[in-house]
Amino acid sequence: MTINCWDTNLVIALLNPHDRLHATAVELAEKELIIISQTVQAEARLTFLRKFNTAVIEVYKILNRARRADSEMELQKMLIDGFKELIQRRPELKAFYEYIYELVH
Amino acid sequence: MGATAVRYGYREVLDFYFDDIFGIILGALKPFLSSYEFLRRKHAGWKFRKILEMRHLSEEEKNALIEEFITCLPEDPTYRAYLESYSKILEVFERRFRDVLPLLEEISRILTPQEQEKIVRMQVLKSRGVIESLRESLSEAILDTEEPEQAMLIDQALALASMLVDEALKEKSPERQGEYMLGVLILLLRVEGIRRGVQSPEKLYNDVAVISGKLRKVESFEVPEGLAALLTSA
Repeated sequence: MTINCWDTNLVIALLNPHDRLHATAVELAEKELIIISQTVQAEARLTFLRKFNTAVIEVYKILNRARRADSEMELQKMLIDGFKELIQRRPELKAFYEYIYELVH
Repeated sequence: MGATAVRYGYREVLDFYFDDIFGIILGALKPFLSSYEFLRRKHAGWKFRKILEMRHLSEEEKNALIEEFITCLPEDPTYRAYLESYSKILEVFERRFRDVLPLLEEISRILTPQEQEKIVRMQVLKSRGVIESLRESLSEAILDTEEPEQAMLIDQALALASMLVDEALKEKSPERQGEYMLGVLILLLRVEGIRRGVQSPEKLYNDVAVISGKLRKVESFEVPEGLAALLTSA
C-alpha cells in the first residue's frame, strides 16, 4: 500500500468537482491511504474560501442583473452569458465559477 | 423636501443586533447567567438578584466588556491559542464581576444536573435563533453594502457559528459541547471586532478556516471537514 501526503492544491482539487485535478484526486483518495496534515487542511480551507469569495463577489453582480429578467429563458441566458464573461476575464478562477454555477443553478 | 434614504450596510445590521450578540457571548461564557427564572421557581430568586442585574448592564458597560474581551482574541489561528484566549476572557469576566462568581458557583449546587442541562440547552437554542435571524437580516444587506466581501465573510462566520451550535445541541459530552461553544465565542468576538474596526477580516478568514475543521465530516470524502456544507449554507 502506498501512503500519500497531500498538499493544498490536491485537497482543493478533491473539494471542487470542476478542478482540473479533481478526477486524479478522487482516484488517489479511493486507491491509496492519504495523510493530510492539519496545517494543510487549514490552509486548503483558507485558500478555498478566499477563491470562492473572490469569485462569488463577481457572481453577485451577475445575479443582481439576472433578477431583472422577464422570463425564465432570459434569466438562464443572462446567467450563462454572465458566467462565460467572468471565466473569460478571470480564467484562473474558472473551476470556482463552475462550482458556484452548480450551487446557484 | 422628503427624507433621504440611508444606506444600511452590514455594520448597521450588526449594530442593530448588538444586544443579542452580547447575550450569546455572555451565555457561551457563563450559561448559568440565564438561570434566574429557574432559581425563582425554587424560591431562591431573592438571593440571586445580582444575576438578574447582569441582563441590565448599561450600553457603556456592555461595550467596555466586549472591547476588553476583543483584546484577548488570539493573533495565531490555532486551537491552543483559542484556549489561551478563552482563559484570558474568563479572567476579564472574573475581574469585572467578582461578586457574581460565588453566586454562579452556588447555582451549580442548587440546580439539579437535569436543570443545568436544560438551561445550557435553552441558551444554545436561543443563540441559534439569534444567529439565524441575524444572517437573514445580513443577507438583505450584502447586495447593498460597499464591502460585499467582508459582509459575506461575516455571514460565513455566522453560518459556521450556527453549525457549531447545532453540533453542540447534538453533543452529549460537556467537553465537546464546550469546544463548539468556544468556536462560537471566538467567531462572534471577531465579528464584533471587525464591526468596531479593531480586528482585520484577515483574522476572521483564518478563524473560519481553522474552526470549520472542528465540524464532523457530514458526508463522504468529497465534503472534507464540513467546508462545502458551510459554503452551501452561506
